[in-house]
Amino acid sequence: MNRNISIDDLKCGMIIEQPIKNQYGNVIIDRGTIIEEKHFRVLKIWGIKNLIVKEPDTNNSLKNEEDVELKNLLNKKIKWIPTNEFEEELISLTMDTIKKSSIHEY
Amino acid sequence: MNISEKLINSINNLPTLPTLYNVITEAIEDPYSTNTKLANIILTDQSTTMKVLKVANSPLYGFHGKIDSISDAILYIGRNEIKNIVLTLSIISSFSKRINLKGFRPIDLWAHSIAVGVISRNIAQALGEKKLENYFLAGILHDIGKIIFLEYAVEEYKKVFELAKKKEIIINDAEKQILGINHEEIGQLLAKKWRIPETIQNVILYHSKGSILKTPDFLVSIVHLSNIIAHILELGYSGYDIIQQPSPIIWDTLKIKKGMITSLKDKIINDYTNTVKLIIL
Repeated sequence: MNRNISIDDLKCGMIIEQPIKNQYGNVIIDRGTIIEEKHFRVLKIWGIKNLIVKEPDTNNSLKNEEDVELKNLLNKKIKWIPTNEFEEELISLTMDTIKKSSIHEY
Repeated sequence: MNISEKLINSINNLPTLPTLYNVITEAIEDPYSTNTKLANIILTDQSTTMKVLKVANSPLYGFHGKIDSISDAILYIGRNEIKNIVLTLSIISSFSKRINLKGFRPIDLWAHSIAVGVISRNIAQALGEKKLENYFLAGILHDIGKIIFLEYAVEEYKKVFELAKKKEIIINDAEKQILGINHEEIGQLLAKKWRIPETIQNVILYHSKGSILKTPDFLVSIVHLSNIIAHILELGYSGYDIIQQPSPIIWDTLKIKKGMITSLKDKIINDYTNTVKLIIL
């Protein structure tokens, strides 16, 4: 489900469903882009009033907050930087465990 | 007498391993003793017999309930592995499990040790190692020194954890500062007293380093990595939440393939859950 929303209702973490074009027809924000703080400026400059985002929008912005939370939990456990692909694998396994236990807590 | 002398002394007062284990070891070392003779020794102890059968049938060994006698267990699993299972059971039952150090209980430490044993055996097997008998035991025993601290210096050990947390230092350093000896050193002293093979003594003494004074050692490296993986998967609890970076030497020693640990994850968790139930619950 897509939703046509006003720029005033746009929040970080929402996903753009239809490419946003300026008055000359050039794509300024592509489909699938996750809205971040920096995009608001671009939209304002080009005077965009409405845009189409992917539903469910509230879940998407919530997910973004969750991701930050999970990343913080990971940083508490792992205080080193991976030096090879095996260490990257260990970090991704740690993230899986954190995700699993956070599901139980919610 | 200072605390580290007191602790080392406590080792001399620790009970020797149960006679059963010593009799089995002697029987195994005697080249003329038959499997039937060995089975008869184990059968003298009813509770050990039951537990050995349960462990032999656990998913860890892959026989799925097909072993219904001790002599079958010896035949399929092998003399040395059976001896190690008896040793594991004897050691765990020779320590009390009552102490509770603010959420850190010996039973959680044993669960962690079982996890390290299960992971070590699984990784060794996946790497094509044929002689698997020592991996489970090495994992079980790697933190035996912490058990001694919990039994004989529980108040001081509380301070070790507080210091490690406050100063963000590793447990070994906090142990050195407060107790004058770390869990690897005291664990090795106990293993020596119990005449546990030197390969396992090395694991106890060097598991946090991942090599024997920079000399590569396959068993030490596997237990080093498995210890980290047990923390990652949160199987059991060894007193701290921080995950250490593996020692760089282990990657060359083990030659692990990318994705191997991830592919073993489900089996590890399954083996762990089953083995913990059998051994300590």
